[in-house]
This record gives sequence, structure tokens and C-alpha cells, in this order.
Amino acid sequence: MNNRIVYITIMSWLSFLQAMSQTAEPSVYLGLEVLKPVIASVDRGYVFEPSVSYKLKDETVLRVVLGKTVVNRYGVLSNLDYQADGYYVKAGVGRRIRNFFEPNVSLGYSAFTETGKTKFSGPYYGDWVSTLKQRQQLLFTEVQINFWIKISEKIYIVPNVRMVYLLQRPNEALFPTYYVPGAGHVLFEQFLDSNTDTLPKSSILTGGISVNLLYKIF
Amino acid sequence: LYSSHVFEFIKKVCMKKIRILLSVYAVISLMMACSGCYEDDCNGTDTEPSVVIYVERPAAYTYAYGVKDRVEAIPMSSYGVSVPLSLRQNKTTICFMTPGGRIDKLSVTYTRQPVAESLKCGVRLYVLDIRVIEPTTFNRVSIVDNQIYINNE
Repeated sequence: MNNRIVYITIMSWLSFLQAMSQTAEPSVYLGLEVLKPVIASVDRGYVFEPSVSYKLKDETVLRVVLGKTVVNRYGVLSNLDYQADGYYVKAGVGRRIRNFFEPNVSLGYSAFTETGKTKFSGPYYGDWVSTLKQRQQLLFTEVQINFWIKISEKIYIVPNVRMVYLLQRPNEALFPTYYVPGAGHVLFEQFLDSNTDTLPKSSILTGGISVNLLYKIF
Repeated sequence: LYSSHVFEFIKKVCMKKIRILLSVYAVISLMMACSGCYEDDCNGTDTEPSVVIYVERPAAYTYAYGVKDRVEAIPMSSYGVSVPLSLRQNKTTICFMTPGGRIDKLSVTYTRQPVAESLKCGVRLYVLDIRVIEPTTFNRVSIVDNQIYINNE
């Protein structure tokens, strides 16, 4: 199932790259994600996500996204101070319809380190903070619908909704994975608020919204 | 006579309210008792664990203490002493003070293993594989089930 998705995404890319080579005057856009940094700042983190988009004459859009994310959250478990810190890359292809809608499918790779810190009290000798680390490398696929809103001749605001499917399950040997850079939250608040005797398991399906600011170079 | 009238008045007027208050108190007490049981479900520890040291002749010592920046005496009991282990390092040195001012020393090493247990309990700590570091001033020291037995005769 997973291999089939990767195969279809790669073949789509190759066919559209071929189409691009046969088409003159592609438009090139530089983009920057502007909503995720605001959301991440609530979790004492940041997101830097630039992108490059090629739009062909037939409205096909090829996009490459690079990203760096740091997300923090206290209380993923009752006493665990969690941090996800990593990089990701996404390559996608879509088609713009009526200069507004753009369904897009992409393949992503995320490499990140999760750190879980717990403070143990030491009334006699002093406190100790234990640090657990998990390193992750995950492939995921993403379906997006972008909405191109023209602000000026060169500037677009592009809000989007996305659904992400992790092709590999995170390694949760030490503690549950809360966030996958590039994909989003994989543990949800309603599970974290409940007081359970078991460890929560991350979901392989997630989603969200974001807003890109695009600048047309040519 | 006056006080008995007051008592009767309180009894008639307030008895219903007192019953309600007592019921609420009973329910809250039960809830607190249950929440106490709930907390105990967690395994591992969230603070310094203690190691029990059984001493053959505990009266030979006035007190014990774990080595740190200042001496904080831990009184001896009829079986020996229960001493906290340091979490800041994987080693603790315990001193035993005799009435004559002599100090016997015992150092132990161990593994600190944090384990994510559950959403409610979070990460708990296990101290495993306690071992005695030689040399020690005691003739014979043995460890059984993370409990230390000292022969000081």
C-alpha cells in the first residue's frame, strides 16, 4: 500500500517534469509559510518553511518545500516536557483550476529528534532532570487544496487545507510522538486531557490548515 | 434552660442542613480516599528512592548520612537505616558515625532508568542493579533484592 503511494507520486512527478520541459515560460514563485509560525510560537517553538513553486502554461504546479521546526509542549505525559526539533522536505504536484483552486499531492520526508525531559525531586541530594531522546526519519504523503488569492500582480496569499498520511509509524520506544515536523500533530489534545493508565499512541493520519505567502519572480 | 432552648432550635432548624453537609463531607472524603488509591497505582518513583540497609549491630552507630555538601543525619533504627540514593549521579556514599567519632563508609553504584509508564503517571524512575563499590570499611556486605545487609561484628 505504502510502496504503491510512493510509486504513484514519483511517476506523477516524472510525467510532470517531462511536461514542464516541453512547455515554455513557466512562472516561478517563492513562498513562505506564515500561519504555522504563529501556531508554533504558542508552543514556545518556531516554523521556518520556504518553498519554490513552478507553474506551467497548462496550470500544472510543481512545488518543493523545505522546513525547519521546533515545537515544545509540557504535559504530553503528566510530567514530560516534550520537544520536537527537525527538518523536512516535501515535493508535490498539483493543478490550478480557474486560477483559484489547486489540489496538490506531495511526498514528504521528515528527520527530527524528540527530547523528553522529566524533573525528579531530590529532597536530600537535590533534583535531577532526566533527558530521553528519540531520533526519527519518516516518509509521509500529503493531499492539499490550495486557494490562490491574488493580492497584486506579483503577490498571492494561498491558504490551504491538508491531510497527511504517515507512511511509517514513529518509533515510540521511549515516549509517545506528539509532533512530526512537516506533517503536524499526531497526538491530539482530547486524548492528552484524559487521565488514563496507558500510554497514548500517535495517529498516522493528521491534517491542518496553513497559509502561504507567494511572490512571483517571473 | 436558655441553652437547651437554643440547642432544640438548632436541632430542629439546622438538622436537615447538617445532614446534607455531613453527606457532602462523606462523599468528598470517599472521593479523596479513592484518588489516593488511584495515585498509588503508579509504579517506579518520582523522587529519590531509598535503600534499606540492615546492620547486624545497629547500636554501634549513632546516626548515618549520605555524602553531600553538608551532613544531614539520618537516625538509626532497630534494624539499621533507610538511606536515600542520589539521583544526580549513579553513585551514593553512605557514612555511619560511631559514638567514638569513627566513620565507616559504604559506597554503592546503580542504574537510573526513567520509563514512560502512562499518561497519568508520566515518566517514573527505576533504580536497578545496586552494587557495592570496593573497598569498604565493613567486613562483609551483601545485597539481596536491592536491600543491603552489613555485618559489622
